[in-house]
Amino acid sequence: MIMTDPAPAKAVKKTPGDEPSPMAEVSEDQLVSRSRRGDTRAYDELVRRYQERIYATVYHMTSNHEDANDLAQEAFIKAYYALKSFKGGSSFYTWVYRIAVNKTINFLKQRKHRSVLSLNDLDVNAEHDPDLVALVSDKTPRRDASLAELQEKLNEAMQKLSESHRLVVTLHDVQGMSHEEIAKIMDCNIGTVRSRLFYARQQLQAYLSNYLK
Amino acid sequence: MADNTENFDQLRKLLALKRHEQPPPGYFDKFSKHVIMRLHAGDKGEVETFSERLFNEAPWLQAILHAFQTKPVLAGGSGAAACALVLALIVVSGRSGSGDMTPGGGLAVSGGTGSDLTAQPLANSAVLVTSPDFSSTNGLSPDAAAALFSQMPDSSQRVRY
Repeated sequence: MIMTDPAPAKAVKKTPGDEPSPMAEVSEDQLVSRSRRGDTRAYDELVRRYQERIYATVYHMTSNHEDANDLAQEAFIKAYYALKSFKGGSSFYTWVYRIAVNKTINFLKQRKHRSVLSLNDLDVNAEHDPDLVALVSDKTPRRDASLAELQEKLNEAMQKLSESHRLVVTLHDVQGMSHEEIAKIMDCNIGTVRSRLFYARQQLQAYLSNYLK
Repeated sequence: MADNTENFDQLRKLLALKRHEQPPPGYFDKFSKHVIMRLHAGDKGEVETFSERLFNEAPWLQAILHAFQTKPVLAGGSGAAACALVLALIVVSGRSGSGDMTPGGGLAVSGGTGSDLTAQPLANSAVLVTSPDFSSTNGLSPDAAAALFSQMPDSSQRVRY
């Protein structure tokens, strides 16, 4: 089976009031090449393209915004200094993802018994998500309070998983990556991804049985 | 199996809750700027520990350790095999090296009789004399003593008072 790299991020769309980025139309290969030569504007564009996805993965692994902020920044800083060793065998996106994932797993192993939740707020769309609404009891007077409780229980359950199982659930069920993409990032075969995903879901199901109808 | 699939669907809907978790407004507007500022300041991030560096440069090692953690039988079997190998090496080296009393360095004097001593200079300047004629209970004959000191290595010098 041919495994392809995840699709590279498109240039960041500008919102009204933003200055157009001069690097927005430059290809990833050119940005990497320029960054290697010390062009930090090119690297700034690379960071912008992948910051949300990298941050999201790290945040879902740690359930802590402050740790995710530090680790995501550290990952991009490390990637910058390691650009010379980037041989282009995989996409820059996969390569920096691996750096972020490894850094996060090392951090979590050191923090093993001191898990501290610092959760991001839920956006306004959560209250209108029909799937989530269905999970919350109709008898609860404050639906937003129930969602907050659900969020806390979900994150506590995620933290009970091992790092590798939490990662595969994060990448597949939360961030929507394919098994092939995950196998590339985790440097394992697709069968391993599938078995870890199945086991992780079984564990989560057991932890969250009271909240699943 | 169908029941399991259906329950996983509920779980996956619940996991979708995490997609609604967002950092504070404007967070990503400043993120890349912070990274670039740290690069300009010469910040190289946290120094990797030895184990982090080892695992990054040898990911197969991490895979082996993970296998040991998840399969204790494998770890026990590997440990037993390693011990057996060490014991075998000790036994083999003991059999092949039973007649050789010289250490790795120093000056070895292979012995025959007390008056027939030869010196072989080696890497170190220390002088080690071994001879079957010498023991803690037998005295040193004058001829043997003279023979010892007459065959000092070229790199050594006699002390003059």
